Amino acid sequence: MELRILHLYHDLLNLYGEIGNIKVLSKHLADQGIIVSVQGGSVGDDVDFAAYDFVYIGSGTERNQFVALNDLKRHRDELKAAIDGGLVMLATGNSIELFGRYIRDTDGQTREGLGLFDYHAEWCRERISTDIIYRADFLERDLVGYVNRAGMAYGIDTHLFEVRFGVGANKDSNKEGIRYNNFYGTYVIGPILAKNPHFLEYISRSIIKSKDTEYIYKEIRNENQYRAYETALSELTNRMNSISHK
Amino acid sequence: MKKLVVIILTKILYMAGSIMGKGSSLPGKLALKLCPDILARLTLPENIVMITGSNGKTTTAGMINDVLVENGFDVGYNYEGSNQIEGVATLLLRISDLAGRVKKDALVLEVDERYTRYVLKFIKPRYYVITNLYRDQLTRNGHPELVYSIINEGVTDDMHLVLNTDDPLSSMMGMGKDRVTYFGINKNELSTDINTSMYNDGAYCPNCKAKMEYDYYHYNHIGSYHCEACGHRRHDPEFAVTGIDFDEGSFTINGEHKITLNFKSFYNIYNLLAAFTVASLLGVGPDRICASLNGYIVKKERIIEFVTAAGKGMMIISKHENSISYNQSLRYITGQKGDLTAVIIVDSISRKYYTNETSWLWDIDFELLRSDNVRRIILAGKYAYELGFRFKHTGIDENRISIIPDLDDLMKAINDMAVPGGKTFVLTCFSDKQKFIDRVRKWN
Repeated sequence: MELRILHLYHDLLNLYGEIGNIKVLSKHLADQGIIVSVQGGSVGDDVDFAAYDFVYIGSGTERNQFVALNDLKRHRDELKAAIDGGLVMLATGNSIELFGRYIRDTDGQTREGLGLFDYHAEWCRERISTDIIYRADFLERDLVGYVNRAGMAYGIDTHLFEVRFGVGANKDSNKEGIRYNNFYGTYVIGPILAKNPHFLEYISRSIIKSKDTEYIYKEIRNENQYRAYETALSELTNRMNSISHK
Repeated sequence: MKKLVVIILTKILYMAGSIMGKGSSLPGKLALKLCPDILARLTLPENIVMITGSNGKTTTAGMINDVLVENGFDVGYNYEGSNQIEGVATLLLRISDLAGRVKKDALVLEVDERYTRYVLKFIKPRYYVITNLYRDQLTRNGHPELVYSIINEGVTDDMHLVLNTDDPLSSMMGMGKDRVTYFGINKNELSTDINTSMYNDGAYCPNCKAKMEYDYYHYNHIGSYHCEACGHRRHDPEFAVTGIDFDEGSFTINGEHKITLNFKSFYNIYNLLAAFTVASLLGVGPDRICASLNGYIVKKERIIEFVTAAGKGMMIISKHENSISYNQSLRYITGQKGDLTAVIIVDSISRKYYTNETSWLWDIDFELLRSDNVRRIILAGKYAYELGFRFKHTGIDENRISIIPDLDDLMKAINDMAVPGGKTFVLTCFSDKQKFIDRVRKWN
């Protein structure tokens, strides 16, 4: 099997070690015996979404987020067609704001989003920066990570996660993220696939399945990754319990 | 009257605190509470140097202080750990007379980048040094562009800016300003044509966001850049490093002023260069500055030497949540001759707050350790497994790597596993420094 990965705005939306997701995923797939190629796609590049088996987009500064948004608008229709057609895509950090209807900044100015989904984002005066534990019905274990962002999302109706610790899509929500077909979006920043072996395996299976439903996925565990995950989960669970007991 | 009371109270509290070995921010904190504009009511000397930035501000401020003191200046200086507005207030009230006059030849104030806007409300520096703006403690800083806006908010036209011309972000503060002095390192044999780091924060112009062009890089996105779209570019520095000789351990400023290096690294050169620049602007002659800075020993707390059965060791402070700080230390290690052992400790991410955030581990160029003379790598602390997984993606031979999650086992591991006859380099942060020192003491 051969798989092609597109790292969208690799040089612009890479603020929190997002390259880790690409490294971990491509190695995990290569360890399956799959031939993996990774390509970056950025401002001004010709991108053919139909040519990829997986697309990843990460987080950036608010200004970089707008640069990416303006550029991505050129590809809006092809991207929509690809996602509707089942393209496996992961969006992390503030990149999820690009896919909604609009983004409203702290001065009340709004910018039109790609409008692929029916939510919008509003930036807050205080930045949202916190550790998180989320639960997903499709993962056997909880997800650990961190959010560091300017905005809140409103109007998502197909969430990805339930909040156990930390913050949700907005301050009144105990849900987070967006799921549509094989599109997975979350405000969680950085190397989410490195931190969470179960999510890495889930995404890998999804990519493989979207390419060939007959292909047999091999269980390949990296013990260090699992131990690191258990350490993080137990640390954050303790943290959650100590805060809730205060 | 209120002013006098606050000044006396702060002095008493400071003295009481010194006797009990307490930190220096509490007296200033109370003073600001009692009299929020107390700093504006003081009479300060004309020569105020303020230093901020992501990396190197403590070291640079210390160097500036030392050069000035050695050259006869009576200096007021807030040393390490008191770089927020409370620490600045403690210093100034401590050294002022009862009328609120600070009779010093110069003030050297290191200010935490997030507090600059508060301090600048009351204190206008004559020279304002911004060392650089990097990805640093992003859990609380958000990102460098946010820190830029916070600092820039406080900059006014009457300040003379002293800027690092090689850093595209912080140098932007000089745009449209008349009173700017740039310092920087010119192209040399260590410069590279391409950026080989995990990320490039200079890929897009920080001013207009068009793609930026680079002529060369020193490290990460630090180098010579220009933007075709808006004209933002590296300015020719008035104070330029024109030659570096790491073999001999020296560098030269403006072709003639040679300074010897006790610690051979780029960031040490930047700190020394910034100190040279400020001291020159304050009228100290170049030869006298060089004499003061020759072989400058970076504060003991930042570099610590130790000995185990395996041989000599050196601990280098590399700030967690700061990939450039780590990269600099990694480059220092890989620049050493002979076989060596590298130890990375990540046990607590910060000493100031709790977080489990480790994305910065993927921004660090650990791949630099894929070098023949790095014979053994020990990954230690609570995040040892996470480091282990990160290292799995470096291409480094796994047989060279050991994972020691419990710091109580670390000294034995160094003792047993470190390459015999080679030096051991330990990289860690302030948050874990003491834990390591305690283990070294126990072991010896």
